[in-house]
Amino acid sequence: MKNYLFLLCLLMVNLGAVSDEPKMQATEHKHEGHMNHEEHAGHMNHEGHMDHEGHMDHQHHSHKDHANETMIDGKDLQVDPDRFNKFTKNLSSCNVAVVSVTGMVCDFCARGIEKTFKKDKSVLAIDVDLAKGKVLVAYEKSRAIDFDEIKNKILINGQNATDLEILEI
Amino acid sequence: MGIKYLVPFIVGLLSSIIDARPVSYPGGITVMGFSDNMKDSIYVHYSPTHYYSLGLETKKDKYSDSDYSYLRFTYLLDRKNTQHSQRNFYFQSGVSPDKASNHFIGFHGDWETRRLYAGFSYKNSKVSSQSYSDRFVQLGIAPYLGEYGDIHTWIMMKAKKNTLDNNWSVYPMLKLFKGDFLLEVGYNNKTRLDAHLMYRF
Repeated sequence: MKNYLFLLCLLMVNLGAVSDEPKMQATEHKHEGHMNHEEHAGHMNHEGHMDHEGHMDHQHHSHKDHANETMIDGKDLQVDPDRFNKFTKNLSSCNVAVVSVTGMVCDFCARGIEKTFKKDKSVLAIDVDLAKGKVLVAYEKSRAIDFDEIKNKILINGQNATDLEILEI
Repeated sequence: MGIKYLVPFIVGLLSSIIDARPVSYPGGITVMGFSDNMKDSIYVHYSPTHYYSLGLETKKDKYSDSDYSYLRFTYLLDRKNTQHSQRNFYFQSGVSPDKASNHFIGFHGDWETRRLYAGFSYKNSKVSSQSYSDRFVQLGIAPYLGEYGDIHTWIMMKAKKNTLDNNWSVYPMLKLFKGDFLLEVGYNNKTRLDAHLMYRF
């Protein structure tokens, strides 16, 4: 019985070994100014978006709409709407990096990611969406967001960053 | 509960999930405790990178009724990240600063998704010219998928054997963690309490 358990354990670990390679071919999708796109008309009247030039006439939309929207490159922004709303509730005038991460399967291992990013003074807030495999990082508007830097911060914690979306709030 | 009972209880609990997260994030300090029928131990380690950790374990060996410590080194040999899983394979070692003939080497592996967990460990030790090995396998399932910041729960089955004891014992364990705190508790008639506690700074 115990030997079977041991073998089963080894088998499960090995199954992990032959599973899909992590997507190391990272792509960066910066959506700075994407709200100006025709498809996104009406997304800009949220509080905190009012400073955007030419956005004043749009109707109010919650961040939930942002979370569900199709980006200008045709990709869907894969974040949990409720979680995204909660995260951005008290944020204004900032950029949110939505980072896709592989290997982030438990709360305990994601703690290090939060601690690593919080060392950066320009990071206003951070959240982890375990279900979608996303890390949300709100940066000061003036801070340039560098995907290589983000990838390195995720990597030194033991996970892999595979994609980046940037949203203006 | 008086302080004279509370302190040994906490120390007993603070004696580890030594094998659960043997390497932390860079700069991370982890305190672990473990208590079972063979030993009580406290283990503190520091991870300069996510590849290895250095630490000190103080151990009360219940079998030999002796106290000793280990300087420990753990190295991440292999890690595989996928969208929904992570697999790790570690080398672990320790040598007593008081007596180099007291030492151990071993391996630890785990694979987990948000729902399933499988892990194993093998450790060969030599203490006072006596050699023995510890091994365990552990399978677990999360009854619900908690979000970041929630209390996470795992129901596990653990089978372990120490060659000094020479019999496998199989028993259920409950693992709970929230934030940087983790608790794992199991019990059976043979090994009695099997308690792990961990906090990461």
